[in-house]
Amino acid sequence: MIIQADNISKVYTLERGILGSKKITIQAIDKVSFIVKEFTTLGIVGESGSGKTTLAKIIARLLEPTSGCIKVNPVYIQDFRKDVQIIFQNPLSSLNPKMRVCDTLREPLLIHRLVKRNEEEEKVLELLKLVGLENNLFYRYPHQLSGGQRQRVCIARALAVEPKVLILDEPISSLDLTVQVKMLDLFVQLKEKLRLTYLFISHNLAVIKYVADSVIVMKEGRIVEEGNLKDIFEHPQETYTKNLIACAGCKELMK
Amino acid sequence: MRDFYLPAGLVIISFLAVVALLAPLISPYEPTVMDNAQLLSPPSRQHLLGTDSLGRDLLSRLIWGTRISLSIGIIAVGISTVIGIFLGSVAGFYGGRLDSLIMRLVDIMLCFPTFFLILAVVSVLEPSLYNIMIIIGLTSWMSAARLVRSEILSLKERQFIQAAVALGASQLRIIFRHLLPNALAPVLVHATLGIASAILLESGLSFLGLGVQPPTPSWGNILIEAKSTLGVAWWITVFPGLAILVTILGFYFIAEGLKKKLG
Repeated sequence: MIIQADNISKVYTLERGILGSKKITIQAIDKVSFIVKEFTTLGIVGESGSGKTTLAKIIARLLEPTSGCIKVNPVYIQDFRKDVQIIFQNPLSSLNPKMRVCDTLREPLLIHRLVKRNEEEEKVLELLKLVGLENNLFYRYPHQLSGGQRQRVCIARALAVEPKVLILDEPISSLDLTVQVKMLDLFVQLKEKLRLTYLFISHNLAVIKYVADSVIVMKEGRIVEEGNLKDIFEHPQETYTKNLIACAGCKELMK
Repeated sequence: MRDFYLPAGLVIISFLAVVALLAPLISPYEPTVMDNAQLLSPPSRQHLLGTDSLGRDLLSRLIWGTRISLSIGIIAVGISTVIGIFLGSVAGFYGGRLDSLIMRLVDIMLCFPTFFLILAVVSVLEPSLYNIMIIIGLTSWMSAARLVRSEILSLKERQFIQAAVALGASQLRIIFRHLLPNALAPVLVHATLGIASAILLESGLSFLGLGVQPPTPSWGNILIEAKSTLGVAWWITVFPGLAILVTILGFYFIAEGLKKKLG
């Protein structure tokens, strides 16, 4: 175990009517528990609105759960803000528009004082190479990059602090298809090279099948089915999972 | 026509800035020296813009007045913008009670008619140049605070802020490196307009005799002295009025240009 979600719930309360007289509660996450094993990829799959992104933010400790907690294994994770990083769906909004690529990548090094001042540039170039970007992007601003390049910068920024766990929240859904495949390969490659643990969130079963070791299927904030990759795909128990697998687009991609 | 505003504004304001800086060198006479032989003389070769009722050279007084008016505008706006950015970002970033407290303070300040508040304060304190700068600054920060707060509120939800939190960035780093640089463009536009209104406010105060005190020339107090001789000496009213008009236009042009340029 490297990270564990223990009975997590998240409830949003909306106030409606004059003076908030009517209260509407929305159960975004409903008693979700799971364990992420070290050096594996846990895929979380579900349709949109199933609470995947909320869950990702809670696990990254960017959002407080209403109840339940996130436990970590102190053998692997000492400094949570260094050892657990998150990558979001939209890379453009994930980058500060006023910061050049080099500033963006230098920031995590500064925050955690990872390298000496004169070695910063070298380290940034190393990071660019690690995610397959050219050196000439060093002084570019986010709006001067393509979608794929932006997402690679986000990955490089997360990897700068040498994390143990990477939470990937729909990391490829905003990219076009040809780039998606390359990005998936990059994730697989990086996992091997840096001994990472992934929490891979996607609505696309084909993607999950490509990267994950075990799978959680979510619906309306609850886990409906979980198990290792093979079991879920070959012997789905729940109708919801069967429907997900049976959808036309998936079938073709599975082969 | 797209690129007309910014260069036009910059030309006007840099011209005025040069005039203000070089005032001792370029003004033909001392602004306070009286010439009894030349009372109320119309524009001539000797006095390009004429003289006032005490025989002082109007051009020299306007040149020195540029110094006073511009520095009041810039320093007052400097004060109000710093206060506005500070309170606005604190309110927007921390939210909750602190936010409510600051925004109610803004509401209270906005309820006062600023001009009369300044009048009241100036009539208690002595109306020196510095007092006027500070008072204008202290009574005009509210809109800047509101602007910064709303910018911060919308920026706070952007994912690069979340990414910075996940990287362990301190609150100060998030405010100064991520939030403020992205909130500054509209504040800059707002400040430029603020300079124009501060200059106008000072002219109004001087006109009521509560601004910069004579014999120090400011555009406003030249105008009030002109009031009594309006019938016989049009030049004393027209030229300071034109100076105020051109300056305000200059700052408006810059603000308009910046707004287009910074989106």
